[in-house]
Order: sequence, then structure tokens, then C-alpha cells
Amino acid sequence: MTVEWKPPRPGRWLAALLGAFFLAASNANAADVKGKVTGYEHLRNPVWVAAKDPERHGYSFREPVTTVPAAMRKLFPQVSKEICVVALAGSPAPAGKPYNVRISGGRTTPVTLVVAPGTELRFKNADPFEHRLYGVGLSTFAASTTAKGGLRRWTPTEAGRYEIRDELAPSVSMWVVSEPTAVAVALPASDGRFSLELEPGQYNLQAYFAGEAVGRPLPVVVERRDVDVTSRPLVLATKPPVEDNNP
Amino acid sequence: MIATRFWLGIVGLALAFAMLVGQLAVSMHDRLGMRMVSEGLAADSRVVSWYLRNAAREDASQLIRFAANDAVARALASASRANEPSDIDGATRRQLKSTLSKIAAEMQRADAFDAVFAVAQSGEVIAHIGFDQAAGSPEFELGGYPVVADALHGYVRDDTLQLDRLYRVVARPVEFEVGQLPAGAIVGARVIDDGFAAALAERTGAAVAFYAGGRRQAAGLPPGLQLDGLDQIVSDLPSLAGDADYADKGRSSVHELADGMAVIYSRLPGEAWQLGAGYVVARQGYEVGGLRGVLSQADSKDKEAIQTLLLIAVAVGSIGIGLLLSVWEYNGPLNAFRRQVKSLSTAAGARFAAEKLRAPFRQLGLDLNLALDRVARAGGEGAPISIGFEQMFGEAGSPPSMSAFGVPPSVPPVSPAPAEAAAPAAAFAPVGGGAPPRRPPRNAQQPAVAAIPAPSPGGAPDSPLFAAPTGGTVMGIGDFPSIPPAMPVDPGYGLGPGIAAQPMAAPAHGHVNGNGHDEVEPEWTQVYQDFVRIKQDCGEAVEGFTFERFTQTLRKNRDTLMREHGVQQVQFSAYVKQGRAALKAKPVR
Repeated sequence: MTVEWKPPRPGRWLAALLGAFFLAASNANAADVKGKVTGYEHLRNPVWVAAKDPERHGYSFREPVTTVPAAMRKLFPQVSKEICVVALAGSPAPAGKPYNVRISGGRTTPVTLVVAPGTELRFKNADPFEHRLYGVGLSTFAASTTAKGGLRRWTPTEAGRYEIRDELAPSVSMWVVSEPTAVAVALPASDGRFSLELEPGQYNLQAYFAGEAVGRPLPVVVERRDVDVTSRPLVLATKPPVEDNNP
Repeated sequence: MIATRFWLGIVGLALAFAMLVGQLAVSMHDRLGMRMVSEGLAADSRVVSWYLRNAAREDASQLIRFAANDAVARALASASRANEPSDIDGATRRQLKSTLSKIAAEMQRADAFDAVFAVAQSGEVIAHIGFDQAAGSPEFELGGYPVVADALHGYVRDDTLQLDRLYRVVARPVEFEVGQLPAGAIVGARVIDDGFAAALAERTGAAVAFYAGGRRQAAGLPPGLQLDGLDQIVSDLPSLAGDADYADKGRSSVHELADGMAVIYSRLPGEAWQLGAGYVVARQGYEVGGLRGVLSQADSKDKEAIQTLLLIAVAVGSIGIGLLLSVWEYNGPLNAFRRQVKSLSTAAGARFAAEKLRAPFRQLGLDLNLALDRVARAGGEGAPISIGFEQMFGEAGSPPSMSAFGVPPSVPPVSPAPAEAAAPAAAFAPVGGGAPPRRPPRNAQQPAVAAIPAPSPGGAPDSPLFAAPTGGTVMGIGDFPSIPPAMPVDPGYGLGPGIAAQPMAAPAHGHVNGNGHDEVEPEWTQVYQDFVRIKQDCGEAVEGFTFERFTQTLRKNRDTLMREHGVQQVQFSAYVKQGRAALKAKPVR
């Protein structure tokens, strides 16, 4: 079957140009806020910590490799996937754009996500096998199979903290925080640096891990130019948790 | 026939006991067999668990080939420095995959993994071999699995992952710089398929199957075993929900399936534990299924263990004992009786030698002797022998007969006869001491048959004169509905077994009492002689048994009967009852 291409009429060209202009104008006032998170090496991934418990029967043997320094043999999170930095405004914000969540490798990316209520989440199965995500205690997100490459949508409509799990992969555990004042979210890079695009205004930058806010919020005032708060990093934790006594 | 019957009882009890022992043996065998199977299954389950753990350790050692390779470490370190997976150049990926393939090719076939993954610190899979499902998927990662996360943080460990299939997985860190976080991890995986299960079964000797998601994933049987029913576990898996041992310890109790198969379920270590995946070991039970199964399942070794000669000896001995007893108790007396009948028919002897016979032929002989005597008296030597009801108990429809002195219990007992009474013509030497009555009256209100005490040689009987009825001989009552037609006399009461009633002829001699009757009826001599002869035939003592005392007793009882029943005559007759001499009395109008 062949499709004949017809050039758009002049009126449509004009509408497209106007749309692009207003879109650029709306972002023209936005500014990049660059920052950094530190102290994440003192956090512990709760799923991995639970899995090392011998009572869970998660392995038949588990031994440390002594050539790896003991300080490194801690189950701290993968900062680029498990830490979420969110900009909180002083008043409720409208729902953001749909957010893509990737399911692969025994977890979701991101693991923790903070969004404004009404923001649609799109779960994409990037594994070569099925997953069955469900919301713990959520009737609006019951267990359902997502085939390889499949997509599943869910929108938290009310503020709250939701846990998403997978019936076929016990290690998959995602937290969605529906925060009315959340206006932007960023995932740090492997070195802890992050960048947020914010409209001018006053915000509090808050890091989240495992569905909970970690560290103190960092107030930021955004004007019509980029802001670099790297010198004032978000300190997620200052000391290791107690469970480190059990390697 | 007592001994024969006793022997039959012994044989019957022995047979029942043999069945009891057989059933107990089958039950004990099945119970012990199931216990052995249970112990064997527990051992199999432990061996499989040990094998899985040991194999995982060996696999972790094999991973050193990859982890210690400089090219692998360098490539992973380079990939881990990239901020985004897309920043990792394709050349690094291709080079790493080539290195992995080269190392895998150098490994022995038995040590080779089904799939190997090189994972960067971020969890992204930089290169992999043997896992074509993820080919062309640059976003494929493994960093979320605890086994990979542990390796990325400096641990070596194993896991069982349920992905598209079941995988036994080991992972260890890849170090590039000493004292730094590992550059990545190397992950080796083995698919749990029929080949994996077969190798496991061959090395452990256990019949094993793996299950996940409610389905059997793989099965392996050691050489020489055929377990067609292993698929039964699929229908049995739901029962694990109620198995407390399985939930708490990860190992179930013994589950008995159809066809005598027994299994034990065990959970697989790793993430598969939480997903309900596991393995099952199976053994065939040793149930024989009852006594019939003992015969059907016995093999040549069992049959060789049978002591055939002993069984034959027991069977022959039992049969022989039974035959001997039957010959001794039945054939012997029958032959003796037959010989006497034959001698009687050839006129070699005029009477049966009852003392030479054993019961019941002795009784027959005595009765036949009596019948012969009567026939001889009635019709001569040539008269035919006819022994019927009339002869033994009187004619049916004729005036009722009763035992001598067979009157209601209100009749007073016979007074003792004087010991110094005159001896009859056929004198017998008196002996002292009369036999006491053997049986008390049973039912004095219905004197169908009464017994008369025999005149004791040494004195009068001290027992009641009339015994209780001993039978229901009520035929021929006729005009005397209240009096039974025949009344055999219990031999234990004096004159012994009864004498068949005979029509009494007019007294030929003797005295006449006040009622117009002779003191001694003419027939009483014959009755006496019959009675004495019967006693002798029965082997009873006749010393001191005088005719005078005999007639005294008859007289008193005759008078009593005549008074009670208003009859003019009473006929007495001697007969044999239960091997002893007895008398019968028959009132005649």
C-alpha cells in the first residue's frame, strides 16, 4: 500500500510555528539548577539488606571477597537509579508530564520517584520476560502481566506514598511518592551530580530514597539564570546504619 | 469323632492364625518400607541440596577465569566510568563479549556456563554470552538482583533466579584497582533444564525434578530407574500450601502419590524460594498391597528363600494327622461294626458284641440286639428284623406310654427296697453301693419322659424316683393327652436305660395285690432278663441286681401309675439310652 504525501496547507504551517514559539517562550524563563548529593554511601538498599538475611534463604553461600575493602562491601544504593531529587514549590503544582519507568534487572529505574498527583507513570518492561507489577494495597494498580517490551500505565491521583512490587521478581520494589508541591524531579549521576530545570521561584530541593525523604531540604531561589548549588550538596546521611554490624 | 473334630478346629485356628500373621507381616512390611523410603527421600533431598551448594561453589571458582582477566576488568572499569549506558561505546562491548567467548571456549564442557554476563558498577550488562533473549537490548541490566548487587559490593554468592526459566546463578566482583570499589561483576548462569537435572541425578543417585510456577520444569532420573509417575507432582503441588514443614523449613514431609510413589519437596535457595520454586526427590514405595500382593510381587530371590520341604512336611503332616484320626475314629469302628453285621448275617453270631464296638456303633449294636430279641420272641428266628418307632417307643396312636413311673413330680419317691430281698431265679451276686442319680429332674411339670432309679444292689436309691423329662416324645398320646406316649427312663436312676414297652399279657404266675394285680407280672421276668442283658451289653455292673428288688420297684411304680392314670395295666420294657440300660413304662387301658 502506498501513501501519497501531501504538503500541509498554509494555515497548518502557521499553527505549528505559533505552537513552537509559545513552547519556547514558556521555557525561556526556566533555569537549570545544578547540585550534588553526598552521603549516599551511608544508605542501605532495604531489598538487598533483607536478601542477605540467612533466614530469607536467598542463597546457599555468601562470602566476602577480601581484596575488596571492607568499607566498600556495604550495600549502599546505586545513586543513579535509587536516589531521587525533587524540587518542591510553596504551593501545589499541576500534574507533570508522563514519566517513563523502566523495568529491568530486578528493579525499576528509578526505584524512588516523586511526582505531583495526576502525573501518569508508564512502566516499560525492558526485560526479555514477563513481569506482574502491583501496588501494595492498591486497588487501582492490581497485579497484571506486562509482557516483554510491554507498557503499563498508572496515575496516582491522590497524595501519598505507594509501593509497587512484582509478583514474579521479589527484588523489584519501587516507591512512588505523590507530592502535590513537586514540580520537577531529577536522578543524580553516578557521581551524585544532578540538574533540575525550574521556573523562577523559591523551591526546596529534597532527596528521596526508598520512598522516604532523606537529608535536609535545600532551599533554592531560581531566577532567570542557572543556579549551581553544588557547593551546598544535599547530604543524605552522615553515618552508616546500625545494620552494618552484620555484613 | 471327637479327636477329628478337635483336629479340624486346630487346623482352622492355625489357618486363621496364619492369616493374622500374614496380614500383620504385610502391614509391618509396608510401614517399614515407607519408613525406609522416607529416610531415603530425606537423604536424597539433603544430597541434592548439598550438590547444589557445592556445584555453586565450584561455579564461583570457575568465574575467577573471567573476573581475573585483565581485558574484562579494564572493559568494565571503562564502562563503569560512563554516566549513562548510552555513553558506553560499542567497541568496548564487542571486545568484552569476545573476551567472554574466548574464556568460555577454553573451559571444559562440564564446567562451562550456559550464560555469562559482564555487569558494570551501575548494573548495566555490558556484554553477555549465551543469553540470546537479551540480544539487541542495550538497556538490559541485572543490577537489581541481590546476587549481582552483592557481587558489585564485594561478595561472591549464589542464587536461583526465576526469569524466563529457572537459573542457578553465581556472581563475583571484578576488581580493576586494588582498594577501590569493584569495577563490575561477572555472573555465570546455568539453566535448570532436563540436562541439568540428569547430571544431578547421575551424580547424586536421586530421582529429582524441578518445579516453578506450578509446573514441572525439569526432571532427571538416575540410570536404571523408571518413574513414570513423576508428573504427578503437578497435581500435588497445591497441597504444599498446607505443609507446615515446607513453609517453615523449606522441606516438606513425605507425600505419598499414586502407585506407591513417595516424594519430598524442597525449596530452592535464592529468590526462587520466595516464588515457590523448588525441587522434588522421588522414590518408589515398597508397598505389597495385601496378601495378594505378596504372591504377585515376590521375585525369584523371595521364592528361593521359601523352605519348600518344610511347607510340604507341614501340609502332609496335617493331612496325615487328620486322616489317621478319621480312620481311627470312623473307619475303625465302622469296620468293626461291619464285621459284626457280616458275622450276624452269616449266623456266626446271634448277637452284636456291643462291648467290642465304640460309640456310636455301640448304641447301634445294643439297639439291634434288643430288636433281634424282640423279633425272635415275636416271630421266631426267621422273622425279619424290623426296628421302628413302634418297637422303640410304642405304637403311634396307641394309648400313651410313659416311662415307668413317669408321673408328675408330686408322685412320692420310691421307698428303698430291702437289701435282703429274695434273689430271683437268675441270681446275681449282690454288690454294695448304688450309683447316685446323675441328673436331677429338669421339668417336673411336663413329665414327657421320666427316669426311674435303678434298684441299688445295696439298698434303695436315695434319689427322686421320677426324673425330669428328657425329650419331647409326645407322639401317640391318643387318649392320654396329659401323658406322653413313651417315657424313656434315665439310666442314671436305677434300672438304667429304658425298655421298650410291650403289651402286657395276663399274668401267668405270681401274686395278686389288693387291686387284683399280680405282685409279679409274668412279663417282668423277661423285662428283667432284658434289662440285665442290656446292662451287661453296656458294660454295666449287675452284681447284686436281684430280681426281687427289680420287681419291687416295678410294682410300686406300676401301682402309682395305675392310680394316677386310672389304667389297668402298665407295660414295661428295657431299652438302651445313651449307652446305658433304661426302662420305659406304658400305661394300658
